Amino acid sequence: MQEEKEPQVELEHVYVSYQNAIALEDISLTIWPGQFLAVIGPNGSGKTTLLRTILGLMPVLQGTVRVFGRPPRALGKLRQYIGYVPQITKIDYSFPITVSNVVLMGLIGQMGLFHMAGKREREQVGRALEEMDIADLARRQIGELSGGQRQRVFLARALVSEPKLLFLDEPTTGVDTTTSSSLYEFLLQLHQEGITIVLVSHDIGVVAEYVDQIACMNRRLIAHGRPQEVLNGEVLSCMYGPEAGLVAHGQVPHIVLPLHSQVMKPSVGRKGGEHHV
Amino acid sequence: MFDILHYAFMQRALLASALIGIVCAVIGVYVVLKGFSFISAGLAHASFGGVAVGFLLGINPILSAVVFVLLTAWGIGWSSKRGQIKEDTAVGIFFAATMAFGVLIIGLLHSYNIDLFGYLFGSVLAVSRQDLWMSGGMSIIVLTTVFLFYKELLFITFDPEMAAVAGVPATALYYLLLSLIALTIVLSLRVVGIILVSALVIIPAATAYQFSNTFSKMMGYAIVVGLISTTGGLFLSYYFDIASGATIVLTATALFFVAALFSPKGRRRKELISNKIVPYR
Repeated sequence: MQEEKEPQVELEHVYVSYQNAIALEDISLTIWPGQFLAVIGPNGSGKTTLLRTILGLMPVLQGTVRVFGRPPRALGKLRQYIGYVPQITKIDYSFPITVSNVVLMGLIGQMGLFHMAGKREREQVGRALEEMDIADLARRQIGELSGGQRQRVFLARALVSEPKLLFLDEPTTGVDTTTSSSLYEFLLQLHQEGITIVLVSHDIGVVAEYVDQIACMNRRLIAHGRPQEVLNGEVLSCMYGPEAGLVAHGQVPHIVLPLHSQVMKPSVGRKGGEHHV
Repeated sequence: MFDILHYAFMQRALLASALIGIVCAVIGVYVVLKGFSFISAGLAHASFGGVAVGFLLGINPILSAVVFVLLTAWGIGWSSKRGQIKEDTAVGIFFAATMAFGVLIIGLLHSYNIDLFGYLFGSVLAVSRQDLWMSGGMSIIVLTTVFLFYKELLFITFDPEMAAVAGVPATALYYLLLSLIALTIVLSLRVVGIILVSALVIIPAATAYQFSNTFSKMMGYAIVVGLISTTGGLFLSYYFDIASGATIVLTATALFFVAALFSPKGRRRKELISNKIVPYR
């Protein structure tokens, strides 16, 4: 049934370099409408570069990238169907700007040059803020918000143009577990409404509960498929090194790494010799 | 007290000061928020080369400086976007090279040109009618461009990556911003001079930053601070018979320190600590 539709994102044998090193090597990946895909891999595996390549922010050395059937830099008006939530830790929170103006930026592609925000845009922003339950924060400066509230602001910005394709880069970095599980619940809801979601993450265990597709990468695409098909010892050792094995705790897969493994940065708050990722 | 305003030279000086007070403040907001202080200082020094070319060719030094500083700005932009070097390295190279070029040309002229001092440190009381027209024309260009591209410039200043994703031509706007900084510096040369002009771009915006939680407020406050600094500095320099460019910059600096003392941003940080709310970052 899916095969009848056009793919929304298509990468064919894509090579991308970043800071004089190959960051993506021979990546071929197709994303179909309505999929909920998590791109996982260790730090420096090219996850964010993959996202930036699809968004047209990286020059492609070789291969082809198509989004809605077009090269990402020639999307024109189709750009409004793309929502993007950057890593919220990379934003300058001392910047003098209010929440509603941050969200308004999500509409800039539709507004055209020399056009000032009017009533229609203000209403769209208002609706996006309502939907994210942050309408009362509209006039606050972004630095005055908590991590979870910031997360909602950038989601509202991505959703204000009513995208069909939503990209999120490490959406749970810098937020607590309650906030991150409510974020995943919200994404699940968007997924059920038919929005295609692509998220980059390193919490494999949590992500596997929600998404229907996982792409594992470490510069190359190691595996792509349903979580239960993909998350096996062989794939994980390709990503994290031969020491990594998979232990099932209930339904949530966890990776167990040996204590002195240099493969991944240890996460905060862990105890004992196991790294639950 | 306002008797001096009957003099035509004083009227021109006041008008020129007010004009650059506004334009420098507006552009300064982008310079401060984007971290372009070094670029603006570099471009100011590059204008020395441009002024020298004007003396060599016997044309108005401001005209040659416009062309020269615009080319330098684009050169800095191009080498940091295309090349393998960082932006501040590019500024460091262009800034010294253009200045050296200026020194070389002045040396070739074999006559110590007395007007050079005026370009280096500013001489607002010597602003001619022609100078005023040129500064006025460039100010209109800069302010109109900022008005037309207001939301795009705000967007690329806050989050250039997201701006590019949304279809805003981020690279073109980056060059546009560099060009606006270049024009602002050249149009202010006569009043505050090559050495001091970047201070007038940076300080009013940095002062406004202390008090602003929105972008439009920051711009409004910066304009007020800029106007007070330039016109107040002009009157002070006239009454005490001291160097006008230096007085303007020192007035702005004094306002900055007063603002920093009473900055609500500093207080907010203290409140966060006392309420045990830890800010992210």
